[in-house]
Parts: sequence; structure tokens; C-alpha cells
Amino acid sequence: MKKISVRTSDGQEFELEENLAMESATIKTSLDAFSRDDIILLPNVNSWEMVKIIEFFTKVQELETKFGVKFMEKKEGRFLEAFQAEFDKDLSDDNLYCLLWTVDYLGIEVLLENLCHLMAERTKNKTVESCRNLFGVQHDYTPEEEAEIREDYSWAFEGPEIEE
Amino acid sequence: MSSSAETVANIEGLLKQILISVPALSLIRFKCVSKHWLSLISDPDFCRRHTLRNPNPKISAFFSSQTNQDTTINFITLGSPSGNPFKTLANSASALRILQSCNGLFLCYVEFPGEEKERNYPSVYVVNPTTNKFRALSAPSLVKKEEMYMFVRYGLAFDPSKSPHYTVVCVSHDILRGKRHSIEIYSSETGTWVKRFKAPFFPSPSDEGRHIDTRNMPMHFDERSREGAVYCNGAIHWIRNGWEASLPFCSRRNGVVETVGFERNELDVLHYYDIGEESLRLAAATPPVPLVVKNIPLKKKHKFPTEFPRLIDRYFGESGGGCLYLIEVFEQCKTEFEVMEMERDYSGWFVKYHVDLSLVVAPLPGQDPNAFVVLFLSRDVETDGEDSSTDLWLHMPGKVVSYNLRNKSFKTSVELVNRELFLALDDDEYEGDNYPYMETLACV
Repeated sequence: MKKISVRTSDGQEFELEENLAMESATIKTSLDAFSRDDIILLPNVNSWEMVKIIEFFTKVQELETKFGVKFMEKKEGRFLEAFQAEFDKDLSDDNLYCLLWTVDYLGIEVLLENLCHLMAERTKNKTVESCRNLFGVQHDYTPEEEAEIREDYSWAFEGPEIEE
Repeated sequence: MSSSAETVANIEGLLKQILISVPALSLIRFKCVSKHWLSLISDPDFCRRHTLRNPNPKISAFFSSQTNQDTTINFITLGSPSGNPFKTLANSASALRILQSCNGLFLCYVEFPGEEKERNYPSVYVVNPTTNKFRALSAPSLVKKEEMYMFVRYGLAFDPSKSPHYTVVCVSHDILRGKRHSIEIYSSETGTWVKRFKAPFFPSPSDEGRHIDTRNMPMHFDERSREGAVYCNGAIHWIRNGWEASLPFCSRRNGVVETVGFERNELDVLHYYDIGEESLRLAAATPPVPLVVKNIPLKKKHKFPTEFPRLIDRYFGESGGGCLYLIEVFEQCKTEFEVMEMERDYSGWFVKYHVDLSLVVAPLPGQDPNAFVVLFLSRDVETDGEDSSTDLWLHMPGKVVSYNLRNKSFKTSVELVNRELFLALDDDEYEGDNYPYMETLACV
């Protein structure tokens, strides 16, 4: 199997199997444009992110063997749960957010979908303020405007606002 | 990243992809994050996609058909949300009545509307308490005719796993004349009523040869059927009111054999409108006679019953997984009842479980087993087939419990904030229910 070389922003080089590399729309585009022997530069990708992505593909292959299901082709409930559990640990909210961006940039659809789902799980119990911090959103309501919304939906804010 | 416009588009796309998997309750709170988030979350297109993506939200609370003095609707929450999402409509001088709950949307009408002409045929509303939005449906054309004696029934069909849009069915007939029902369908997509067709009345074989004044018309779809419908499996269903569905005591002699016992009244049928087939149908098989009634002892002489069954509550609904259930509680023995299910082909009711509540409350010290209200029957849809478990959700003073019918074991018990709260249903005057609520961003 042909190996594709990539270099991340911090100068580290990785070798990916061709079929895995092709899962990234961005890499695929590069490969189509240039020779396969060249190293593909990925200035927007950190080495730790590349490690995670390779981990993902390895995990997928493991789980595919274990559950006998083609992950890329069909969404299997238990498989997804196992995958999510695996990826959930050791990833801080901010790291998850960065990884999301990178995977979006690389155009790896199937991993992106799962990470979005994971992100949604992490987000749902956050307070409004935490959300702003995590997503880097500017607070553009006046106190009166925000109070009005909180009043309209007061029932949703009753009880403790949960924070992970 | 390339140009800033692309970046902005990417942010938007990525954000939507994340938020579409966030549950509705959280998204309502996140309207406060920023104006951009508010517009994103309130966008009807996003709401429709979110609804399709999250078609089976868990039941989080129940609304009672009872209303308070201040016309707010009572509710029982299973934890979160802790506040009551149901606000009364704009003209809050009138009490709002829930007719039906369907996957997070509610079909309602205003009980005592101010306007004279509205009084006989109150218009219906489709309400989404989660988003604080409602739509007042224009009156169907037949209602505009101002006929004095109209029979009308409405039903809401909303299946978010299939479509983000809903339909409302209106079945009616003129009581004094006409031999057919008129059926009109409202589509949320078009915002209009479409006259579908006329459906003939259901024949009453037992009325053959009877004088018109003594006819029973047991199969006729009329006032004897409940106002509130149940949507299940692509059809809208109406059962008879509890007070209509008595169990007469019959004594029949067939030659030598004499059968004596309580029977179901033949009018205790189920009517339903099949949306796909566009037809109004009848499931004529009456439910089996409950054990509690069968066990009413007869006097030694005369073979007459020592007492007559008194039906206290009749619960009719849909358990997750597309099954209709019927539970009846009799005064003779409130703590024993059957959970009946309707066959998928509507050929009849069968008893799925016998419940003895005295066993259920055994682990709860000091709990009066007679003080309860059935909330819901839920089926674990994931594990269908042999392993599927059905949970019976009950409301007792100050708590909500769920009881697994297969294992006959307790699952959870939610303590309500108000320990004294007990939303027992109003009895005779109005046959109401406790309607399940789940959060949804569905557009009305």
C-alpha cells in the first residue's frame, strides 16, 4: 500500500496509508494536483492533531473488526458509542474544538460528524457564559435584551444551570 | 484558512453541524449566547432540520388537562425543565384546554372564547410550548356554515421521524341531517384546509329492523367518542368516552346453555383516520372484559351481580414503538388493572399485562396504592422484539414512578418538588388526561 507523507505545522512528518489519506478531501485534492512522491504540507494542522486523526483511523479499523461492521458505510449504534467513549477521554473542550476545526479543514467527513456529535454532548449542559468562552463568541446583548429573552424562556432557566 | 468570507461560512456551517445535535432545551437557553446564535437557533430551516435529526426526544414532563384559577396549566416535571413551559395564549382571559399531545406539539382550544360566534366551534391551535410559538388554525369550511348541530372532532398528526410538518384532521357531520361525515385536512405546509371527501356512517347491524327512536347506532362516530385523539402509526384514533362505555350485565339463553355475565357494550369501539389511505375506519372489536369485573360475585339466587362495575379512569395512548394501549381502572379494585394493546391490524384488543399495584407500592412505605394516575406507557424502542421492556409511568402524590411490566420491578422514582402535588384527573365533567411533553424545536 502506497504511503503518503505529510508534514504538520510544527515540522513533524507522518506517513499515512493511501486509502486513509484519501479520506481527507483536502489531501486528496493536493494529491490530484501534485505528484504522490512529494510531501504534502499541512500548515494548519498540528502534530498532536495528526496523531489523533491517525488514532481515529486505527480505532475505526479495530472496531470494524470487533463489531464486523463497515463504519464508513453504516452508522452502527454500539460502534458509535465505543468510538465516542474512546475519543472523549483526554480531550479538553478547547482541544476538541481545535481538532474539530482541523478535521473540518482536512475535510474528513465521517470523523467530523462524530466530533460534532461529541461536541454537542459536551456543550448541552454548559452555561450560556461557558458557551461564549468555548466558541469565542462575543456577548452582544444589552442587559435589558438578555433579560427579556431569559424572561420569555424563564422555564428553561429555572433550576440550576448545569455545568459539566 | 483562505478568505475571511469563507472562514465565516465555515464557522456557520460547523456551528450548525454541532448545534443540530444539541438537545432543544439547551438550545433554548443558548438563545442568550449572542444575537447571531439567537438568529441561528430561531431560523425555521434550522428548526426543521433539528426536528428531523432529533425525532425521539425523551418525555420530560406532563401537562394536566386541569387548569388553575389563573388559567395556567398544571404540570409535573421529571426533573428538567423545572419550570412550566406552557404559557397561556394571547387572550389569556380564557382557559386553554389541551386536546392532544403529539411528539412535542399540542393541539389546543380555548374553552370560553370571548366572541359569540366562536362559542360553538372554538378554533383550534397548534402550540409548541418549547419555542413559545403557536398557530391559530383558520376554521375549516364546514364550521363556518354556522350549523347549530354539528359534531366535530379534531386530531393532530405529527411524526418528526418522517417530516417536520404536521397535519390536522377535522371529521364532522351535521347531526340533524346527512348520512355522511365530512373530512377536511389541514397541512402546516400550505396553511390551508383541504376538503378531502365524505365518509359514510358506519352501519349498525344490531339496529336492523329497529324503530328509528330505539336505534342504538353502536358503530356511529359521534359525541360518544372522546374529544382528544391519539396519533399512532400514521393514523389518528378516537375511543369512546368512559361514561359511555359501560359493561352491561347480560343473561342469554341459547337453547339449553345460559351465559350470564358482564359484557362490553357493543358501542365501545375505536374509530380512526388513516392518513396515508385517506380513510375513516372502524375497529369494531370491543376490549375484553376486565378481570376485576369478571370477578364481581353473583348472588347465589337469581344469578344477579352483587354490584355493578364503576369505571373510574380510562387511559388511552400510544406507547413508544407504535402500539395503542388501553388501561381501565375500576372502583371495585383500583389497584388491579390490565394493560391492553391493540393488534397492529386492528383486529382487536388483547391483554398484555395484569398489574397488581399493591406489589408496586410495597417498597414505598406509607404510599396509598389507591392514589395514583397513569401517566404513560413507554416501550424501550431500541430493544424491540422479545427483549423489549415496557415501563408503566405512574403519578402518585408527590412523586412519579416507573414500573417495568415485564420484570415487575421498580425502575425510577422522581420526587416532585411539591411533595403534596397530586394531579388527579377531574372526574365526570371532563374526561381529561395528563399529556406527555418533550422538548422540540418543531415549527408551528
